[in-house]
Amino acid sequence: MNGIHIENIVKTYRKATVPAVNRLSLHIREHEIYGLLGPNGAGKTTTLSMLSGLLRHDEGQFYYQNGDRKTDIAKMREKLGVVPQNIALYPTLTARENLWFFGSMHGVEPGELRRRIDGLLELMGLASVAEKPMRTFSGGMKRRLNLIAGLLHNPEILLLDEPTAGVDVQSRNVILEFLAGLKKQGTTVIYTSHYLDEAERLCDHICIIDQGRSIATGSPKELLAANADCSDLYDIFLKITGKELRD
Amino acid sequence: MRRLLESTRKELLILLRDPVGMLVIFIMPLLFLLVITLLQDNTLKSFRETKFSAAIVNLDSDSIGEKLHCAMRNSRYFEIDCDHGLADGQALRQAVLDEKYKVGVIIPKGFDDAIRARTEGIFQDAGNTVEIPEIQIVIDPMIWTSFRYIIELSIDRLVMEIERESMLSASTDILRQVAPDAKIELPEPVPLYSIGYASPNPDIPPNSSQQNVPAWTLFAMFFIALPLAGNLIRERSDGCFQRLLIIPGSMTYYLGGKFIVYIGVCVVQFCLMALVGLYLLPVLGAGAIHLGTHPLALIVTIVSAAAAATAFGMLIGVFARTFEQASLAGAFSVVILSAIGGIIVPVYAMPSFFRKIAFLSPLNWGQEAFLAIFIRDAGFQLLLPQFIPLWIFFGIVFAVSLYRLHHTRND
Repeated sequence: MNGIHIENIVKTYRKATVPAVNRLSLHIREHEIYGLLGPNGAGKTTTLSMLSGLLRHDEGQFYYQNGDRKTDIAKMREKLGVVPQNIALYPTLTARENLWFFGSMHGVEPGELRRRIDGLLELMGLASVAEKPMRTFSGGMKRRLNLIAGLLHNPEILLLDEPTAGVDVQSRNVILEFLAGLKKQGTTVIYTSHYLDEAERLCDHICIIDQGRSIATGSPKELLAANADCSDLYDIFLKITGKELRD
Repeated sequence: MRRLLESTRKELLILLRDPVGMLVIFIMPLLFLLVITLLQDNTLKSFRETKFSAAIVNLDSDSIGEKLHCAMRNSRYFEIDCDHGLADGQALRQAVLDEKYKVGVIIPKGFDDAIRARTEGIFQDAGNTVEIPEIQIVIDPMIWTSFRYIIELSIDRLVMEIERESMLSASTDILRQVAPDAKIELPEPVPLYSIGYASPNPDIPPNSSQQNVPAWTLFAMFFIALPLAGNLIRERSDGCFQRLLIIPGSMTYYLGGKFIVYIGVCVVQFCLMALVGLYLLPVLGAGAIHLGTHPLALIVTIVSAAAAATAFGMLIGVFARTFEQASLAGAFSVVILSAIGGIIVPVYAMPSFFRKIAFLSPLNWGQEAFLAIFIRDAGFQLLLPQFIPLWIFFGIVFAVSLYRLHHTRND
């Protein structure tokens, strides 16, 4: 199967007694949107951080398979786009200055970068505030800008960590439509979220993880079929992860 | 190259849009320099110009007491109250305690006779056995120790002169009795020494500006630790640093941009401080600085100190986890390194223990290099002992910071 393969990954943080990710295996097909769902502390962000190269894993392997050829993910970081959970942008720089800086760091040529910035700002409804400092933006505008900053180099694989957290319905809609558009263009998207309705609508495949392990995987339809007593993904999530609080 | 330029541009924009950071980097050190130089300069001047109010109670009423009274009146250090109406030593002590006078001098009864008897005794093998009643000097307890030394030295000198004169006069009288026909004429005293500075520029006397401009420039350079560390911590907490870590090869440009901007900041700091030392301080009454005649040595000194200071700021920034930690560690370490490095008090004026540990501070290496260029007119080669430790410091601190940054990735 062509795509990203995560096999038996283990990660234990320093001073932690239990692993954050424990023998997790995922297989993500090319050009699909893959949802990584789970309660707080399940290991979603840790998995994305290891995949992006921000954290080193203790055991297991990440690779990209294309036909018979396997490539270590660490060697194709320039093809990865990452949209972190935090608004990872400079508050005192304008929207355009932020994008220009991160685009330049990715090595995008100035003419091409200018064109992409203008296009993406327009698409995300931020063209009119391009010259305003990011700190003056609303939560939704910041999220949209944060997303653009991860896309400037046209990544083949996009890792999104809760890209719609804390935004209004309109901003969320723009982001989700944009992600659906990316999929059509052939981008592989791996995405974490707490919004299960959103994941059900957007994702081709879903993996529910808890305590660093995969506990359910499949397409939304497959998951619903396997849990006939549940009416939606929300019910399935509570059924398999339990109702006790996770802090 | 474009990535380095863009990283530098980003760093510069962030710095220029941080008014508090700009205040800490540029305005605060300028104020330090102005206030401390003018204060020190005035303190030095006041050593030369201060007149201490004084009263003399002369219980002897003979010629030596009168001479001391006259000498103190003519001295530039004392302002003598001739009509104090104090009858005895006890009254004078009380007057000094009540802050009416800074200094009281009590000339004891029989002082003149004792001096004369001692002189005559020299010729009768009995000079050393004559006891002289002591002149008592009473000083206001609130007076600075340094001023006290000036009072002691000047009265001591006046008394010695009077003693010498009266002994010479008594000796001459005796000689005239022994050899009435001899022509005895005492020559006028002539100065037997002159004082000058062992400086290549003797026309430019050392002044407090020469000490303070490099000292507070170095303090300012190392004080960039605070905004630089704050900048690094903000980038980590915002996630910008993590975003850059993910971009292949961007760390080099990220750090390069920071170094270029903060080394540039240090160079601007030096230029501003030098301009103040050259043009503003002389207008305000302090001395002007002399930048020496070795521009290459000066440039290398500025860049070496700036690199060491920037690496130091980076070290604070990568180890501190919060702004509070960075502010506390940054301010505390810079003040301590300044104090032991001779920024606040010159090394030669420090107690022996601190003189021995002064070499541990990178601010001391920078200060020594600047002073050597400004005052001793030293060139590049003579300054190598200062440059080498600065670059070693830079290398070690930078390597430790890089290690820590790498560790952050793999935590």
